[in-house]
Amino acid sequence: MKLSSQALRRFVQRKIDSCNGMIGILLYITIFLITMVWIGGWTGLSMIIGAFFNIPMKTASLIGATLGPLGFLITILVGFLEKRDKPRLTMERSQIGSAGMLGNQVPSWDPFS
Amino acid sequence: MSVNFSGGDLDFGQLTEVDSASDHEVVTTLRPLLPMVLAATVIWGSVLPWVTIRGFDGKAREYSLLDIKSGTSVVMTVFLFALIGAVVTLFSRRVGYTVMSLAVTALGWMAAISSAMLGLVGAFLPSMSVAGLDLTKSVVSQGSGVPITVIASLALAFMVVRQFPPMSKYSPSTSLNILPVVALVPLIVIAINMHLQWMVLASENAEMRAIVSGDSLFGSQLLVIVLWLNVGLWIAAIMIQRSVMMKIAGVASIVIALITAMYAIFLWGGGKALAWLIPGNVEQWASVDIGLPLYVVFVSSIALLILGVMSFTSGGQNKSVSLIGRRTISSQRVYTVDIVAVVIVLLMLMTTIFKRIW
Repeated sequence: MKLSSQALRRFVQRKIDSCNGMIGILLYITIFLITMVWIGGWTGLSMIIGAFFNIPMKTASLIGATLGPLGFLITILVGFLEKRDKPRLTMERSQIGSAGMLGNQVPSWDPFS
Repeated sequence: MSVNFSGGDLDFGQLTEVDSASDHEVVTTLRPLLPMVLAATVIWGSVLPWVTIRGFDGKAREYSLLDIKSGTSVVMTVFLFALIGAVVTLFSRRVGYTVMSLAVTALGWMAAISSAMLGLVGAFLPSMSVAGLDLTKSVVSQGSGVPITVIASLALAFMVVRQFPPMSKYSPSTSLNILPVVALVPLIVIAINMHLQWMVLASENAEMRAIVSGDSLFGSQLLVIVLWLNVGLWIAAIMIQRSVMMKIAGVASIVIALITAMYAIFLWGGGKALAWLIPGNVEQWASVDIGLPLYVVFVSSIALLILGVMSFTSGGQNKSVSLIGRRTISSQRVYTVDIVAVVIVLLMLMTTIFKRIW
């Protein structure tokens, strides 16, 4: 009876030891998973917002990944500044249609573009 | 990819890279020492305490990332990726810096997330009021390693991001505005000292000690959030060199400075103001010791107030320092960025030696 209780204790101790190792691995995965979700989430958000302002995807994703919520804020600010700095094309829809252009394409022959 | 030194002005210690594979644009990159030192600072920050637990006996226990299970593996993984980035720097600086920055960013965000989770856990702790003081608020707090890790990773990220268009347009790599950089110093000092002991109240028989940190004060949680937002705004002001950005950051700084100065004055002065901030009766405590962090916060808040006001003046907005110039130190011409890197390394060494001796 005493022997079996000692064996049981050893068995439980071995299980605890193996669990400790397992906890370490799980914690490692969890830490990186949470961080990756955070980084990935802000990258995605910055890319989406950046796309609205025509900010290059490479820049927007890097800003989001490295600067997180601050990067998201900066993407919006830079987006607005970019939009403000760009000259506005006041071409009518009918004119665009007649010129055979699509979307925001600027005519290559236009000396003011 | 061809790399050549800029021939025009040798004072500019930069390399000019012509990336023929991607977009044929000419970009300027900084010398590699500072990014590498910043990456090392982030990793060093993970060894410093991230969590401080203060017992009611007045003793503080500090825990770093290495103290948790698999913490060493996490740091080693980040170190490995940062090392890969450093090796890649030999071939392509921009790619190398990006890899290095992404690696250490993971560590920076781990610190930020752990700090946020600490606040969340602290909110779930049952309130333990002694003489009207909620002692649980100062029981668990953020360690000094968190701001160092976060700021160093953000600084490196900022250096990497500003090389890409359209960021390069708003943030020229040749100079850096002084005001936002200087304003970050008192802000970080306040952020660190908010978690330290401002006041120690001891009972008559000295069996019980109540430690009052900046965290214990009414509304301090909100203040810390605004404080970190202000850090972000000043970094944004460095990145987007527009006066409006500085003014926004300056307003936030003035508000933070006034509130923190008020905290310090009220806590120092005691009386009715103290009773309003920390509801309860303080008289039953035998001794009240004012800690050094209280004075540090007060001085920092005054400095922050002045810098916040300076953000509205043209003199404050236009002062800048050349990043890629050279300084003469005992007949040797040394790059400014290298001097900054060496100063950071010296600070790290001094802190480590000081901690060992202490």
